Amino acid sequence: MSVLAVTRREWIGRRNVLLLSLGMGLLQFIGLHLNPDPAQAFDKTSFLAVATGTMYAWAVAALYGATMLSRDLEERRFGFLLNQPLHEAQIFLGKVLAGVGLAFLSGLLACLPPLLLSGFWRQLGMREVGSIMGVWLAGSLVLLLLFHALSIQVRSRSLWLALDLAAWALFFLGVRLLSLRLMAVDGFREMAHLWLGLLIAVSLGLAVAGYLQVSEGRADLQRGHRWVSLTMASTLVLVLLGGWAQVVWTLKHRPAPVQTQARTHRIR
Amino acid sequence: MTSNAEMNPVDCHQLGVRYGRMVALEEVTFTVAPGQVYALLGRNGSGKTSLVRCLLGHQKPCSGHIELFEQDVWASRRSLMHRVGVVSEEPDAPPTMTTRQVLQFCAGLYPSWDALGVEARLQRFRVPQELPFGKLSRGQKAQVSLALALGPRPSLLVLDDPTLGLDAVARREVYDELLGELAERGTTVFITTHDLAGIEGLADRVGILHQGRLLVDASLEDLKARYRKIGWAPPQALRLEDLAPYGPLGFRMGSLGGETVLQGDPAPLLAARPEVQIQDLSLEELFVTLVGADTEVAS
Amino acid sequence: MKAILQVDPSAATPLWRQIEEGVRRLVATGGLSAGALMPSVRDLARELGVNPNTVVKAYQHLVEAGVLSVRRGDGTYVAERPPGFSAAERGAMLREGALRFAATAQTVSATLPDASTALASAWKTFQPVRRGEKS
Repeated sequence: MSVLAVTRREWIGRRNVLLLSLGMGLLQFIGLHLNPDPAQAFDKTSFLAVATGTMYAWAVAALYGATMLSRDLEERRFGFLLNQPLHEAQIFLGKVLAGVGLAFLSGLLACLPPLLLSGFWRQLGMREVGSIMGVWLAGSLVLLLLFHALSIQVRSRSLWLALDLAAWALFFLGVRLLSLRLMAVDGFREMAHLWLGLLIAVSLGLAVAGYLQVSEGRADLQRGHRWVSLTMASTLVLVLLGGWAQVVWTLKHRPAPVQTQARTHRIR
Repeated sequence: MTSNAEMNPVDCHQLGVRYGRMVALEEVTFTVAPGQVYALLGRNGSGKTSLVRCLLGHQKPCSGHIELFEQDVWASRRSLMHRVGVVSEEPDAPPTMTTRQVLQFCAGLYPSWDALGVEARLQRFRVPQELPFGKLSRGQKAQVSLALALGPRPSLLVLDDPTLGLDAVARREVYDELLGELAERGTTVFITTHDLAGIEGLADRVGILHQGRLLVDASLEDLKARYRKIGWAPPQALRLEDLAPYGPLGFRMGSLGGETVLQGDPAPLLAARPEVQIQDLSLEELFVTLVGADTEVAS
Repeated sequence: MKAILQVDPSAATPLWRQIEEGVRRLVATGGLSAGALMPSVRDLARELGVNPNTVVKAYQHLVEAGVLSVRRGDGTYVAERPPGFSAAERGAMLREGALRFAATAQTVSATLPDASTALASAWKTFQPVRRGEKS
């Protein structure tokens, strides 16, 4: 399949990343052996291993996203792929798959050696493993798409960056305001829902922006930036409005006053 | 021969590209007929790069359109690339992949791939296939790029300055390969180049791009009929006024005689002034005359 | 073939015409004998470094003029009785050559008798190889 051919091509150039992650895993492995109190170390290390693996996977995803297209465009190497009978969607999908796969495998290599040694893995059930994997994959995907969009915005050195900065600033200010509103009425669960919803919606926007950068911008970095800017700006504004509407609806339907007063009494 | 003999491989119509206020291309119109070798010439900054990018669907033109085999290239790039082979100005295969890996990658993307032909070419050029592409010499990169472009047996071959930076031997090898391809399969070729001497024997039709406009779009035969170079030795002297009816370009007079390029048939002049002789006019000299001095060209 | 048939892309004459004239000259002087096999379009194009279309055009004109004949599946051959140059063609080529010679003579300030002597001795050196054909 052509998509996998693109994926494989990305991997061939980045084998060093996997070697590095293996190195990290082995380092932790050695560190574990050198520890004077193995029993205690095992539990802590297992947790550390998973945490390191996650951070490492996400870092790889972010770095990959930052270079997967923008570097090729800057170095004028993107023509190679465009001159093949590949649809822009195949190129984009192939690259995203490569990045997510690379991040996942890197994380695994970074945390497996100490994990296997500590035996912690025996305590993990399918559900825990599933959720860890899920978080890894989802986080990698989001970070990859985010850093791809950001790298396009920064590398193109065009005035559209002003719109990008304004949109991001507006978005974060808006989210902050909405979160404060919810926190004021102890709506922590609603806030978590809000954030999750925003994250999913923005991620969708990032995916669309990334694809449009390839299909409409092609070899033109500035034109691609324009598409990313317009997509992200409209996404962020729409998502913010949606979030605002949701918060308004939440505040309307919450039995707020009684609890708030009780709380303030307690504080006094 | 392909069955698409009726369709024009390249049809460029009123192409316009601008970057902000800077106009890169304006009202560029030309056609490449099947089996033709079309050479696009132009100085650096004449708009060649933008034209090639629009031609390959890498960039969307601001006005006008380009069609390859009667399909808009921006919209149908993917399907068109099945029959278009491209050699870029800068060899842009991934530098960390070996030649063999790049080969396998490309071969897998086309329904039919001339594996034997590509292999034979690489053997002929003595390209080490296990070396990363980035470590090959400039000439070898160009040869690999050409071999890859010819792999899918394309109906149209687009070469963007394929001999840039190559030494004389590598340049000859590229042209030989091209000639062989032309002789065997009558591939249509669109080539941009600065090597005017090298392309002179190969090109059927020439386009000269100057400051974003297509100054000349004619067959080499037409050019030879339209522009003649005449020269005369001292002590004869021709004045610019004498030559005015023939549209002189690049008039030069010196102690060793004079010469000029004329537009139109100089037969009456030759009859009147027998000391004036027709001289050879190379494509390079014609190009420099037309494009170097910003002279008015009669269409 | 390259050593005897030269083409110059810069010359005012179109390339295909140069090839055509070159082949005609070879046939007329006996460099190419009647019935000889011509190089394929591809080979000649490669040797001369020109577009095969150019060679095709030249061959077409030569076949039309009766200088070459095509044997299907076999290749292109020199015709059994290739026509020489027509009177008009001969006249034009002689005039062109004469003009060039006269210009050279003028450059060295030669007189007509001197020039004629030089021409006569050059004629002798150029005794072409004939194979039983009319001179």
